[in-house]
Amino acid sequence: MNVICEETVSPQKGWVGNVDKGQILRITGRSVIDFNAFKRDDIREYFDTARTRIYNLNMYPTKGHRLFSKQNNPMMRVLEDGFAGIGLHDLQSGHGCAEGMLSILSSLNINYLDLPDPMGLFRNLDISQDGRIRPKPKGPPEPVAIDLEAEINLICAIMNCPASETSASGADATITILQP
Amino acid sequence: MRIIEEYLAPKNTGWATEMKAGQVLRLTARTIIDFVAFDQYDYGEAFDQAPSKEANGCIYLKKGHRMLSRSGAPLMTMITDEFDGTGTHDMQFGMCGRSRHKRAKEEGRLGEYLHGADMELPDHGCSENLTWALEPWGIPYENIPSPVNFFQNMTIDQQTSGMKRTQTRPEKLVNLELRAERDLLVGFSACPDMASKTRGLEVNATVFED
Repeated sequence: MNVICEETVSPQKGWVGNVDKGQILRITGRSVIDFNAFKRDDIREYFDTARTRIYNLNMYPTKGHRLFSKQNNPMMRVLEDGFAGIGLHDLQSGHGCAEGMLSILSSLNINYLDLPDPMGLFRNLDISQDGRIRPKPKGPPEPVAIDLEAEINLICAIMNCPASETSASGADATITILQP
Repeated sequence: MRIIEEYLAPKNTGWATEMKAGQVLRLTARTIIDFVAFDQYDYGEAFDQAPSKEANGCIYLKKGHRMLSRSGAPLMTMITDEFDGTGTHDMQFGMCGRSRHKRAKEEGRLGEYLHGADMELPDHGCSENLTWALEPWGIPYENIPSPVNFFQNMTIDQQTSGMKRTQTRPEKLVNLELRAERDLLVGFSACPDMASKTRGLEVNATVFED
């Protein structure tokens, strides 16, 4: 596979970029990373947590699952999940650092009230049988990667959140785009 | 108690109305209701599942819990929940509708979603009902948030985290009451509830003040 681009993203920094249909976005990290995606031709079609949960009929996204849009179309496929067995990615919470995400999305003219809820990569939660949610930070000791294959042309964005009560550490993340 | 407005929503239809801070919306039903709320003066301040779940510390909406907007402003408080003890109200599933039914059928997954593989599917569902109900206020589908799904009960598999819809619904009509914490636009869909034994029922809505 060819590496199209590779970038290091420090804590409290973000990244936004194009991922073409068929390309793989590899996100490597060990602290919480908020993720959003938009259909490139029409950003009113965006990654949606509820559509994703019900398509997969699962509370958490992992290998084999797909990410779905508000309009119920497939956007990405989870090819690999190096966090599996360590913790679970989060589809419940809002943005941990919304201002940062908005600033990296400024070219798309998205304001706070239009910012879709994110996928919280490496944000482990404890959800008890009666529905109670507790943050349970469980960052991997070494950086691990999640590979997301684009099923359509996308704009993807990530924010590398600072260490907090929900994030085990503030550590560098790496973004890699691969062309199979 | 003074009744401001009363409406009976037939099965698989939607309705929306404005209400004032302090007024109470009572929903009387035994079927799934997909429910959303907006600040009456700023539709961007729409109900948002994620901050609501974070603030309530719970994935279900229960008595005493609040529905929050995108920026965390309180929109409504649930003050009565006669479904408590029978089942829970959901904030995981989005809305049903034409696109979901169509995709599930094409993928041969109707049984997984709806408890039955060979049913006749309606040509519309909650996505369409809420879109049509909110059209007079100029709110397009993509700006309608994922709802609270009242009476949508589910189980979570503790090993796989898989979500399974149940057919648990109220046996007889029960009330939910939500107090408006500010001036609101509220909307709901009486879900076709294809996962239930009834396949959808009417919903009675009453707005009142003390």
